[in-house]
Amino acid sequence: MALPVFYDKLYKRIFLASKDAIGIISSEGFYLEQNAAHRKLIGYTDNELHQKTPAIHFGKRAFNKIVKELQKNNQYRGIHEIRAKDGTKIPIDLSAFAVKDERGKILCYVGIKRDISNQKKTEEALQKSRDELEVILQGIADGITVQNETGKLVYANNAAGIAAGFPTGEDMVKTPPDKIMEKFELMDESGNPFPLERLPGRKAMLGETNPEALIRYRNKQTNEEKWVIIKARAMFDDFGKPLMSINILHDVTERKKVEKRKDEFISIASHELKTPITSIKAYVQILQKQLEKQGNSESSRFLLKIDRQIEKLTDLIADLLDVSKIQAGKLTFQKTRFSLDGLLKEVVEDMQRISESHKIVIKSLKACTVAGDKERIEQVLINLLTNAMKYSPKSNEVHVNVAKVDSMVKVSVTDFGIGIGKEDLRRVFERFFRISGSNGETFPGLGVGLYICAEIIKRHQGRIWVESARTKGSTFHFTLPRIHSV
Amino acid sequence: MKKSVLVVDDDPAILDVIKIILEEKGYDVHLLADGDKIAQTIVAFSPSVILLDFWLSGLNGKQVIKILRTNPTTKHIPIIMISANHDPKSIAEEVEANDFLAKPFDIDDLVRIVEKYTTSSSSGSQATQ
Repeated sequence: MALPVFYDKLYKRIFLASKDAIGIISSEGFYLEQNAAHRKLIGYTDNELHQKTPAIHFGKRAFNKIVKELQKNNQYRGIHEIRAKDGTKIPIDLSAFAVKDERGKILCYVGIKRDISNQKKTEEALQKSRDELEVILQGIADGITVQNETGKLVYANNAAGIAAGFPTGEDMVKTPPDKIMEKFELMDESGNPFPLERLPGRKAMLGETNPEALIRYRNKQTNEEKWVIIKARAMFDDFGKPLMSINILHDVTERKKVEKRKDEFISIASHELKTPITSIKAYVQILQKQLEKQGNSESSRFLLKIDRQIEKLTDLIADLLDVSKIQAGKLTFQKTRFSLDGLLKEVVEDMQRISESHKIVIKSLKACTVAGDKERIEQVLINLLTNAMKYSPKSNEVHVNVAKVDSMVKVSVTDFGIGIGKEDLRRVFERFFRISGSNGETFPGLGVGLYICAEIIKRHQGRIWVESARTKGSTFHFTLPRIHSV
Repeated sequence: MKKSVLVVDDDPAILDVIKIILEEKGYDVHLLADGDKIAQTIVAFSPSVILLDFWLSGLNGKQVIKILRTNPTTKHIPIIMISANHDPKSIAEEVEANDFLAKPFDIDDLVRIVEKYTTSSSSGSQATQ
């Protein structure tokens, strides 16, 4: 069926107006016609193309390849670099096909050349910046890993790979995640198992901002132990769906080794300090008893005061040693069952006896039994009560509440003192952290009491926290699992 | 016959002060600055109770206890661990000492614990107080 003349004209105009360069080639391979875009692209006039094959800009080898493919499949698609008349090389995406009549005889070939030099430049630039980025990522001393939304590892630089016991980062990516994890035993600072759901990468994907964790890990084969701080950030799409998490792994093994030496030093130092204190204390007590017998009550009283100061010194040394034990993961507990309310009453009575400044008021007290190290829990109570008095110099009361909350017992110690600013609320449980008053006054202490308390409570499967605001006093709470009475 | 106490500690001041306290209470006190000669000393002295520092130069407390516990003439003697270590209770349990006293101690506690092991019938000594 022949088309009306009108359509012939229309098709011709479409061909001529196309912004993609189109050349029409005879069944023998010679140029028949080109459109304006083709002319502009390769720079040959219609006359110059007369009796020429596309080999003039494709080169013979490429042209033969195209011809072969066209003869075989009647179509061809490929990326080529062609040479324009002025010699410039142009990357193109060639799409060519054969046009046949009703009986299958080839009428001509059509070649559409799409200039891809811009695309290629962009790709090259992209590749270059990717290469540069890779060089940078590989050059970073810290390990970097990227996980996709399913938790699969999609990138690891060499530092990360090596830290995980692989020759390169790529080898690590190729290994299934559970195979990587089973090589190691993960622990927290105190040597307790580190649950995988607490890994910063997982927390970040769940929307936690800037999660980080200090993790101790042991290679089960080599027994080598390392420490790493992992910080994670998640990337989200426009709909808030997590795409990936980026983890930075900073090795702190050396730092931890130094800390360990320091902790060992503290351990030895405290032992050495206690030795002379032992004889001083004993001599003081002997002397005090002698003076008492002789009726010299004033001197005897002075020696009692010395004895009390020695007691304080001993407590300070014990605190220091506790800290080094916690750091070394060697704080041990002697667990028994005991009445928490009974212990609290004893502690409050004892402390009331030596405190002249504050009245300790038990506001509510529920009878409850807990399982734990009685001396350690006593230490927590003494610490919280001592702090409450220490940090409320202008007040004269401290309140204590004991309540049952579900399966736990909650102890709360409230003071009406200087309080804690918002920025310090979380830090008060950190090692060596000390708080100062609103006008900069400082309070005596090593800054380890609450750190020790937090560790003790944590190790008893409890929770410790504080509610406070500057100048508004503080309430410290802790919970412990209750033993249910039948 | 006087009750006797053997004190083993590498700190001379502690030895001295314990001697003062326990002699005042009527004990016969024998002092030893390191654990190496403990076996000979015990044969010569035959104490009712031993106060033993855990961190001794030379033999450590654990080795000393082992020596005493394997010797039939000394294995019945009660041993009280005195230690400036962090957790003397668990150390005492570990080395199977009869009891422990943490340094620094109150002299009343020292006297009480020594009395506890010298007045009990199992120690075999004669009570004089």
